[in-house]
Amino acid sequence: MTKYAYFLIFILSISSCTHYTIKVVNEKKGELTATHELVINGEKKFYLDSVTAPFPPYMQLITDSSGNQLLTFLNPYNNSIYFYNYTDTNYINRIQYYREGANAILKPAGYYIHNMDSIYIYNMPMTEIVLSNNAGTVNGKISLRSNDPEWPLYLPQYLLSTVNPIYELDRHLILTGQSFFSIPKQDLSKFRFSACIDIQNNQVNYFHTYPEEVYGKNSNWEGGLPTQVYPALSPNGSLVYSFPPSHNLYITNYNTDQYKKVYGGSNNANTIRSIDREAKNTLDELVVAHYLQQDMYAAVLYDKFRNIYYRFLLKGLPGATFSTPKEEKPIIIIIMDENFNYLGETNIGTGKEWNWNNTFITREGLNIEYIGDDLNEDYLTFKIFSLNSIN
Amino acid sequence: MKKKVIKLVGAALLVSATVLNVSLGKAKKGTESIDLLSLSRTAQAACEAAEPWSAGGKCLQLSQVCVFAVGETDCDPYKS
Repeated sequence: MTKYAYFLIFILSISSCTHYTIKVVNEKKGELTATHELVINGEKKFYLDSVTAPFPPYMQLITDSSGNQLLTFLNPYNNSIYFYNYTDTNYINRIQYYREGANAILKPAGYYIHNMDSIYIYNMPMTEIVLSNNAGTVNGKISLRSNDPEWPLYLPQYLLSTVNPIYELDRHLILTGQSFFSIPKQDLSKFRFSACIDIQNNQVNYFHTYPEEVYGKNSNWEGGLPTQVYPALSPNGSLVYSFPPSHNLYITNYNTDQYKKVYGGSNNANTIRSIDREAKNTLDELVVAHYLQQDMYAAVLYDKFRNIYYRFLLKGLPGATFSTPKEEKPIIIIIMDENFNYLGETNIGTGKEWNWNNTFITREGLNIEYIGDDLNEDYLTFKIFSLNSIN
Repeated sequence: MKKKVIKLVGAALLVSATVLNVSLGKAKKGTESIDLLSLSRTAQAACEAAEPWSAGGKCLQLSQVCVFAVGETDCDPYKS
């Protein structure tokens, strides 16, 4: 009888522990041949005022009515969007938004400048898009959540950045959001991370699910970063998604749920594993150390001037612990042609030298915010990379 | 004897005032030495501080952001 009881407890303990460790194998590791690399061939320095720090959380490159290319960025300290001429790096002006009153925007965390009369701002605490203009007036709001207190279980949240921008496609705004937690098996096919806003009637629809082969089987991808999704806009208007634990890229249209999968990995990336514990109650120490130890992909960008893609890989640190700064991860940029054929990859250093979250493309090349060994807080500095053939 | 007590109390007050002044000065210097970059990073990293909270939030250690989370009370996503 006692033996039977022990056996029953054993079976129950196994069946209650239904998580599964996913192993995402890099099938082309060591088999890829590089023909190109990235080299630094330029620099841009933007002089900052006394209330602006480097590392702005969001940027957008726009073209004004005279054809000038403007670099705009968010200053969270004074709730403003700053405008600089990208070519000569001169300051132009700024738009300040209020934190109180009828035109309040509590915490802008991203924006899309359609034109100076229509600036869409993501207000993070309220999970809403605010329609504003260059006078700081609020003309409308579009909520991206419901009144149900449990909305975070089935609606995305958004961590927008220069490499996860708001796109406009066919009179729709596309915001790429995410779940900040592992997704239970039964919810995987229902949780859609991309919000699609029809700007003609403010209707919101949600598209795009997490791939089952990476995020399925109750796998543990806690921490927020492994479930972050990075989009790129292809020349034909398709969205290309980079999921941090996947060596593949997932191509789709903004208003469909089907993916086409292509390889988009690194020649040096290892097998990426989910956390070997049940997601619920996993200690932060383990979550952080696991993220640091694993190779994880990040942003993907399309370069319309050279017709190529760049994808970031943050290499794992095998001996990393909870207290290791995540900026110590080496940054590798993978280069692919327009059909996602591998062209090469370049290790540019670590997050201590580069703020890769502020990366964008201009005619001059791939601009990445540079920190360097001795940060000068008076300037926002970018190094510009160009493509070089390897002989 | 009464004068001696008054002198002792006076000396103690003087020492206390001097110590207080020095520590306040240090605190002020510390405040002034905070740069803008630290402030912007602090704004990102403030997700553990808010209390009392008005909504369930979890502080993501890796991103230092407070996000809405059902059943969590780490931080207040409205305040940080």
